[in-house]
Amino acid sequence: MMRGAKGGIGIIELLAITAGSIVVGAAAGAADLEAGRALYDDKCAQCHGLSGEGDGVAADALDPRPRDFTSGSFKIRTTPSGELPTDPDLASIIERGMPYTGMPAWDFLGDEAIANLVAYIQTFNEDFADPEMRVDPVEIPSPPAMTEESVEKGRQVFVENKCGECHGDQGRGDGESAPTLMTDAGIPIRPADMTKRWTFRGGSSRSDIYRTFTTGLDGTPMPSYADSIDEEQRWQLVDYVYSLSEDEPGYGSVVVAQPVEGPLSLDPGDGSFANAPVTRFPMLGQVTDPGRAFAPAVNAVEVRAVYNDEEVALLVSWHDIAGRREGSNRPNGRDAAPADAALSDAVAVQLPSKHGGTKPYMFYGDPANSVDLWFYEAGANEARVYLGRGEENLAPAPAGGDEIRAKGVYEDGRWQVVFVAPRGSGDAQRVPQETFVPIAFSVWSGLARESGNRRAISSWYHLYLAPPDTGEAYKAAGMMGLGALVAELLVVASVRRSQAGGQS
Amino acid sequence: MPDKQNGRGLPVIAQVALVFAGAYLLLRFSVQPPIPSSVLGMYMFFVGVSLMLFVSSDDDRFAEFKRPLIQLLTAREHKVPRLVLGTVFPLLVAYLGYAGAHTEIAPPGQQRTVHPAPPNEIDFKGKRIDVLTAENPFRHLAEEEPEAFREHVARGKDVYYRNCVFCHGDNLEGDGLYAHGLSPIPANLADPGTIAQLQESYLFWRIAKGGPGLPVEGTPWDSAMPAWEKFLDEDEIWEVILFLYDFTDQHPRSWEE
Amino acid sequence: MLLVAAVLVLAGPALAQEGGEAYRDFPIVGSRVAIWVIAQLHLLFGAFVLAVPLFAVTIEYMGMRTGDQRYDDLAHEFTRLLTMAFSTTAIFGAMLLFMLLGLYPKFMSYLSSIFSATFLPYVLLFFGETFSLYIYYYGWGKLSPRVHLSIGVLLNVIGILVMMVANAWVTFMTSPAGIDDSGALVNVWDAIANPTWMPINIHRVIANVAFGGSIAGAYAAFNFLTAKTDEERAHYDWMGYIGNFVAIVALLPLPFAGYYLGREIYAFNQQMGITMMGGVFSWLFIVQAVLIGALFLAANYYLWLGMARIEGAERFRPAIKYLLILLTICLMIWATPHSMVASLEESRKMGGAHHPVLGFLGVMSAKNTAVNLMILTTYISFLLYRRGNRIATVAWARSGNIAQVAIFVGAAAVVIFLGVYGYYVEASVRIGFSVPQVGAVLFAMIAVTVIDAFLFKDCRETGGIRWGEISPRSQYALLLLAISFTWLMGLMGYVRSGLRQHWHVYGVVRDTSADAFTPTLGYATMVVSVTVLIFFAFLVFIFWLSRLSQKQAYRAQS
Repeated sequence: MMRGAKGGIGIIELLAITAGSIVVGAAAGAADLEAGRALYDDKCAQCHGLSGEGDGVAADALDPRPRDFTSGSFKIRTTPSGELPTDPDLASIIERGMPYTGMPAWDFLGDEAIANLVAYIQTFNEDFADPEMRVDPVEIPSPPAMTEESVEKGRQVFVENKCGECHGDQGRGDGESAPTLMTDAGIPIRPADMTKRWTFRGGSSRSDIYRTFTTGLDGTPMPSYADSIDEEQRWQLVDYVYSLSEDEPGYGSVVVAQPVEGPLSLDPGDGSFANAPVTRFPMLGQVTDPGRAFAPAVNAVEVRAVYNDEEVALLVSWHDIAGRREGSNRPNGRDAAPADAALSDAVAVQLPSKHGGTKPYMFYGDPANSVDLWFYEAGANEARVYLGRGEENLAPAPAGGDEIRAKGVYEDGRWQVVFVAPRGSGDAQRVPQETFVPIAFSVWSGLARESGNRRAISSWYHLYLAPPDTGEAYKAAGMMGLGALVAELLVVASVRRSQAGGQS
Repeated sequence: MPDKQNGRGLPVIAQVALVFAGAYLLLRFSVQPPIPSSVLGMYMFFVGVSLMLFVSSDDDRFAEFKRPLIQLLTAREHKVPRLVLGTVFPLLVAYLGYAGAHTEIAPPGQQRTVHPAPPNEIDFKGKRIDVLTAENPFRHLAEEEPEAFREHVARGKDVYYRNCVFCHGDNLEGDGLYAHGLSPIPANLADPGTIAQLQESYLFWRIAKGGPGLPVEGTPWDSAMPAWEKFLDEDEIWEVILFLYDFTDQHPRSWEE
Repeated sequence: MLLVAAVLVLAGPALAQEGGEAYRDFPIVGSRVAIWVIAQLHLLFGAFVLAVPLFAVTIEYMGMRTGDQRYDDLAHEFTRLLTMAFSTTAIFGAMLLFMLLGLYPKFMSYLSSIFSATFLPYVLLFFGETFSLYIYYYGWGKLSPRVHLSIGVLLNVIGILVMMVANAWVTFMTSPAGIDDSGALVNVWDAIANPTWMPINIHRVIANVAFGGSIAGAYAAFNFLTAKTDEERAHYDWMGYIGNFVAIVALLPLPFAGYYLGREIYAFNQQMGITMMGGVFSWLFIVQAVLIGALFLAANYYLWLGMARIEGAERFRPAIKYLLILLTICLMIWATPHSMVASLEESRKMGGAHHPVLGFLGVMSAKNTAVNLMILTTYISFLLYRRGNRIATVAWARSGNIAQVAIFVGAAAVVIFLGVYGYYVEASVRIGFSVPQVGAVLFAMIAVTVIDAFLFKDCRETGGIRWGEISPRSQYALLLLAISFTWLMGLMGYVRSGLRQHWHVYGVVRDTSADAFTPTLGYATMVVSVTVLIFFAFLVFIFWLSRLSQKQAYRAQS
């Protein structure tokens, strides 16, 4: 709290000094351009560029790229398609930021500083200065009640308007045309994954979604539907999209594996997985080792696990706008894959080679502590096992590597890959029961030309084999209850004795 | 004396329970983000001990505190509540035992030293750098040639936004694009508890050697901090250090003479 | 004892040099733990043997000044514990020596090469201590009081000198001096007067006084709780009070002595300083905070319970609540860790291992402020206790009281202001703030005491002190005090010793044994705890023995 306050004070001081020295006697309430420029140069130019062209030093590593303010084209607006945004639109996006992009929320700057920024940003495109070019925002009515009926009707609107062509039938952003979509600037763009509302750039409330349908996202293939879908249907569509996603990603830290009877199946649709809890982990760009991926295609994996006495099965699933089975892939290597090589999708599960030792380094282990990497390659539709002693020291496992089986299915924008691995015993114990075994994941998207070090990674998390319910809980309850009863009787007896002694 | 205390209305034991519960609610809900359970537990332990000390620091009060308990356990007229309590208590404990076997599965919290002791010297691309005494070669320019100094800071800023911003964030508060997926979370460089506590040479070590260069108490295996010697040269590292202090308006730690 | 001394001088180097082995193994627990436990026990008994004469002579002197026979009896009773403890210390010392020679021959041979010149003086001093001790004890009541007291003083001087020689060996391991690059001796005096020698000497002397007081308190509590008659209870109640008083008075300057030591360690080698305060050992300072908090709470609690036996002290009852609240808050601040143990979920919410709000309590500024306020609070408790049965009659009583309150408020304001201001300045400036903070607290305590002395010069007494009529709970507080003290000595000693990490002699003799690693916090705490347990088992035995001898004397008389 104090930190925010301190930052605020610093900026106010800065503003006061700049304001005092340059614009003396400016009308109260009017935005201060010089203050806006100072703040822009300090905080914004590193991405958006000093001249507002979206070409700051960090720009090349960002996807989506920073806005080019000279273009006059803005995605998130309350004005009709193709128009300039209003001042409050610009202020709002600065204040809220855009989730899962390089644009953070700048709310701590305060309203006055943001107003100055808004004024300064508008100097990059002369249209802003022309009152003729400024139009009134469209009205965003307050949302009507969301009902099962409105959701169902919304689904029909979704089908009728062929939203699935880009966003996929299940809304996972995997429509037929998805891999070919470009922005007006000719940069590939991925349609929104509607099952992950928290990643919507313009915000995830129902009003936000309604605004996107109404005004479109300028500069992208997402058009405005203000003219083609009436207001009532737009709200129904909002409700349908809203119903596809949870509110929050709810990222977890442990995969809890459930015990099952009988052999483990390689079929992701197998009933045994249905009873296992799902844990979602965030996936990040691998930027630690050379061959860095600043904007990986995949932002999360979902994992379930089951086990029996001999084996453990992991169901790893993630969303990608296209499933690539052609070609091959590789887990490591700093250089980009040759441009003409077909890259298949791939996923890897990483565990320490040895149970109970020092945790290996999260990037493929270290010389002293190695990891086992179960590398599933969609091209071959099977797993290979590697022994990792560091990013540059990853080799096919010396022996017994083929004991790990894997099969993957891509359907409706989602990969589901099942790994079945022996749990090992004795010295080769790999996944003991009731122990937090470190586990990490990597994902490669062939479409996004990811291979080797260029990939999405997760931190170390845990795999935990929950014990079968053998009534241990009841035994514990019985023991503790009995213990409490005995203790209670002893206390009563001793108090009574001392009271009796005291009275006599 | 006892009259005065009875005048309060509430029995001592109820007062104690109320204060304890009040303290818990205050600590649990008034501080955001929530206090970690390890620290909250310690706080509540202190509160509990203090309450018991308070109650027992006066014989009358202590007697009054114990009286309802003793009566409950001995007096004839309290037979029914005694039996009820005598049944409910073991059942409650039994339930706790049951629930204990069914708690949410969460890995144990980890103990990690955030600023571990550095080695005496490091090898940076074949050059020995003394981690205890090395000085930022550009720092002296701050006084001598302010313009050249600003230039180095600006270059450091470029380095930061090309490399560091993804984790440490636009405002250096450790909340960059990838922060939500990392554990440990990237350092908040604007916090007075991080770089302001350290020398520039310490930062050089941390930046050059990254996660893999940490000693065990720093849990090197979990750190996504790159060994920046793979990407940056010596000047770039010193420049980005200048920028870190400049942007956050902090000063490197200086040792006493 | 003679034997031990002889071995030390003659056989030591000889034994050590024979054979080329660097290490030998100790069965089951290993060499390090064996040395650790024995050295710790030797140290605790050594502290006891040094502390008791300091205590006894002070009490004897008070007896001479006041003419109160109780003081003299108390001092005598205490010295009786000494004879037994003295031989125990020597036994552990001999064990330590033999084990070091046997288990770490190469290291001991190096240490002998540096310090052989100090061995003879050590032995002579040791003889001196032994003789003066026996004269002091057996000469009780038989020598003229002045001569007897002088022998007591002599005993203390020699005792402290013995400790200083041993300190030289120990501190040399942490901060070696007086040697050349190859580690060979250049100047033995420089090796003795190495950078951390004087800080340790000061720290240990003060700590020994506090330790002695707390052990005296524990002895009194032990006897109070097992006493049969009211006279015995009155006697041991009073004794416990004196022990507690001495312990607390000596405790107050201890943090500053520790601070001096810490500064010298930083100055000698910054890396060691960082290891101490920022590395794994920093967690022990949290444990230390909790234990010192327990000390403060126990001491205050004892005084509050003690007020029950002072007629007229009821007036101050209501103040206890506020003092306790203040103490609890300070304790919570003091024990707040800088980097917290947190689950992944929790640290995601916190944004790291630093809590954005509590993080402010985790740094030195907050902790210095908290400990200074705790010292002030404890002093207020003591002041109220002293005033229990007195009412000032001087004409300026009211303005005197106001002045005292103003001084307290002023001191607290200075402490808090500097604590908060510390967040806004550089580390090197902030470290400097601790001096004025401490200064304000010391000034307040001295000024208020002086005013108090005049205020109550010819006061009216509302009643006496009914010695012996104190709740047994207070005696448990005294026992807790002694245990916390002992534990603290063990833990802090581990930090000082463990700081060397991979070295026997820092930067000179590398530890190449299998034990050359820093054990986990939990393991270290366990070893220290077991040692404390053994120490108290011995202590209870000594207490029991001393009572046994008294009983026989009683029967013989009757």
